[in-house]
Amino acid sequence: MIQLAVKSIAMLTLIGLSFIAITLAPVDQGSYLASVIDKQARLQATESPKLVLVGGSNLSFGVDSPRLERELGYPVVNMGLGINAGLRFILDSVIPFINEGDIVILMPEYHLFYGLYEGDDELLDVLEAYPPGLRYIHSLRQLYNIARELPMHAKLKFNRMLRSIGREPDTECLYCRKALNAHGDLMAHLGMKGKDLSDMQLFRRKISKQVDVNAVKGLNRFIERAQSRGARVFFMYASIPRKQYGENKEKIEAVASILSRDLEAPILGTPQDHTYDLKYFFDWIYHLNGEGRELRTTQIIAWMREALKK
Amino acid sequence: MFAGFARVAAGLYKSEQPHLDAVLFNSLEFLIFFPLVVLAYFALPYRYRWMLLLAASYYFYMSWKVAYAALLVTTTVVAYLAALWMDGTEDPRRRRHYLIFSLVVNLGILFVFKYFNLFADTGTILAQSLGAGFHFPHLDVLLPVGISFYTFQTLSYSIDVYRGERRSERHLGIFALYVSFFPQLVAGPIERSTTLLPQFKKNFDFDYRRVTDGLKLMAWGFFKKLVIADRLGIYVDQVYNSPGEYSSIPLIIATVFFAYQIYCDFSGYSDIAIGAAQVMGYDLMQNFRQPYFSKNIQEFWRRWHVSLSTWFRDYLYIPLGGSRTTVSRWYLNLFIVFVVSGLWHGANWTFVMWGALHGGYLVFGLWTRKWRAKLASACGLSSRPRLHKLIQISITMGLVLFAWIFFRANTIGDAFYVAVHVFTDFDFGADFYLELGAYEFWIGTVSIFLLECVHYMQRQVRVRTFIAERPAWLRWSLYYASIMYVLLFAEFGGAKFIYFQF
Repeated sequence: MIQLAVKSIAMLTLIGLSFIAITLAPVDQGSYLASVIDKQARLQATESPKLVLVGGSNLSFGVDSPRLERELGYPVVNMGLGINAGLRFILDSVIPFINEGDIVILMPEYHLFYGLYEGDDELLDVLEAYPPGLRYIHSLRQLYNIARELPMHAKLKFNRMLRSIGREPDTECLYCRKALNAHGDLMAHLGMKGKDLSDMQLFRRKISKQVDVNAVKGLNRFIERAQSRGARVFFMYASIPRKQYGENKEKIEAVASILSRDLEAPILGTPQDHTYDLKYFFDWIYHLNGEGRELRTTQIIAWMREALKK
Repeated sequence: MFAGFARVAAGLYKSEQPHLDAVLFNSLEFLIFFPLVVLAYFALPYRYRWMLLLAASYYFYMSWKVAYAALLVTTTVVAYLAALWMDGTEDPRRRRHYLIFSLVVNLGILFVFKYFNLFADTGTILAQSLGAGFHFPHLDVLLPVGISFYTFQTLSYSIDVYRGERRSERHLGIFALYVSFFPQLVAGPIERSTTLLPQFKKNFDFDYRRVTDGLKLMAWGFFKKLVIADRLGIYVDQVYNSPGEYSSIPLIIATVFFAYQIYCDFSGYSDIAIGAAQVMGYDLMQNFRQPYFSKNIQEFWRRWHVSLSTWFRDYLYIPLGGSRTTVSRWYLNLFIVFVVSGLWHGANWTFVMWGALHGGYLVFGLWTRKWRAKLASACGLSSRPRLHKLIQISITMGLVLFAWIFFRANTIGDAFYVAVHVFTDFDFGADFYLELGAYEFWIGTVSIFLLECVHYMQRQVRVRTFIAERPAWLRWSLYYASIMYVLLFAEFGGAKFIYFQF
């Protein structure tokens, strides 16, 4: 039995090392998640006072940053990326670059309050595209998530690499780095026909039963640090269709109830104020289409003008 | 107590969905479950091992749905008691009554859970077509996983005891383990009590060679299931779920892919089952012997799902009179066995049609045997055995492929549509990669090629022995490459094994 155990361990080690080697192999820097490189560069290069949008992909799809910039008078950095990177990483990767006079709008998706605080599979994709992001990994849970995803990630990456041999890079892709503008807004979906989302569930994957209090604590930690540096922080709910709001009202209002009680920053509007008709959405519950994006940007400008007066 | 029964009964209703984290062979849960069971198995003294395996087997089965265990217990207890009673009397009439009791209860359970709705729905359709506004009831019950397998395994035990081919098993625990042994519980091989039961009373020590051989067989099974079957299944499902949208080429490819999907799915399961049992010391029967190399349909059935074919031979074909009767009755016996075999596979007329086709092939093959031999001789094929063999294999494969259309189609209507359009609706410009995509398509095709290379090699040498005789660096490189191939090209979608539904 010892002989078998030794040989098994040797083989597993060899296989494990192979998977790590695949993970560390140079990666295609053209993916959507690789836009974190540009977003971070803009965040770090833009002088204060600036307006920083923090959240998941609802921001990439749903905000016209140049218009915000024109109307509100601040240079805008749209840091919206993907929810699976986790709220913790999203917040920790932004806070070091928030300075005096900055304005931050937090717009996290509801999923981030139901089990995605520490991130999931996308966290590894983000780190692969942006290795300096490793310094924002602060918990064992995040490390565990990375380790857990590593084999599948390596497998998918290997197949991607094999598939790309002899193929020209996709020039008209939606989910790729060059589909975003300099501010960090996705542009490729504008004018494209979206999906019928009427049957799409808000929570398709397994989510936690209760609102994750760590998410609220994490937000408050961020707000406290930002405020201590002289920045102003506001919170807005993510945009979702009215239909899905109605179907998930209990879960959404549970988030709102805790936030209105515990969040240490002004909340602009109720969840219902941030709902729109299904026709304004593109390919997912949080992703607005071109028309929806214009509507939402107008609303954000109105909310912010009001808030900044105070 | 009544409340307990009510809960169990309620659990068998369809509305109560099975657990999503069932211990499938291709799940992460099994990767934890199996090593733990094996470690505990070898750590325990011999006399307690049956308890561990029984508990593990019930846990394995109940991971699908706890209520399923009620049926397993009923089947076990009924067959156990019936055998004890048969052994306790010399009166042939009473022995027959006890056998009938076991058959009626076990086949009754099988009928209610698997076939009732087929016959009730067909009856309703027939009644309506005759103008009667009558509806047979439709039971909203869930088909318990593997019910056909363990029912047939139990039936063979009851019949063997009745025939006096074995004594009844006195140890209820060991007998329960025979019915529920987890490696082969849900999709076979359908083991005979005469071969499996005695093994549970043997003491197996850890044997390095046997354990590693078992693990290698399991790895081969995972290759078949995860790399080939689950990948091809994506293509097959797309085409067969809406065959009307496709022309001849995709229909042909989907049918060929289905032939490999079902072979790799089922023989992959068998390999994992046999390998897992072998790790613990138990020998299960070989279930597949490269069936697509068969020269005729008779040979195909000696190579495909061997444990079921031999079951039908011993418990249906021979009792019907087998071949020791008039020629017409012999042909009828064969045809009946294949129709029943089709029905065994599923409660759908498509399966009956598939069985009938194979029965028809077999009868036609026997009937024309002499003429075909004369024709081969006249064509000069008798003097060119290799070419003759190649033609025979190709024709057999063609017939098997045609029958698979009926097996896979969702309805009889779909089956006839495919059967006609594969020959008539040629469109050479049509995209044939479909949603699977060119990359996955070719991974699947190359993997089939590798599978057949290994099969070809197996016909010449025993592959495991051949590899064992190579230098260590080559052996390790081969093992490493094989494992990496499976891990990197596997489809980890958690698709269930096709034969679980039978």
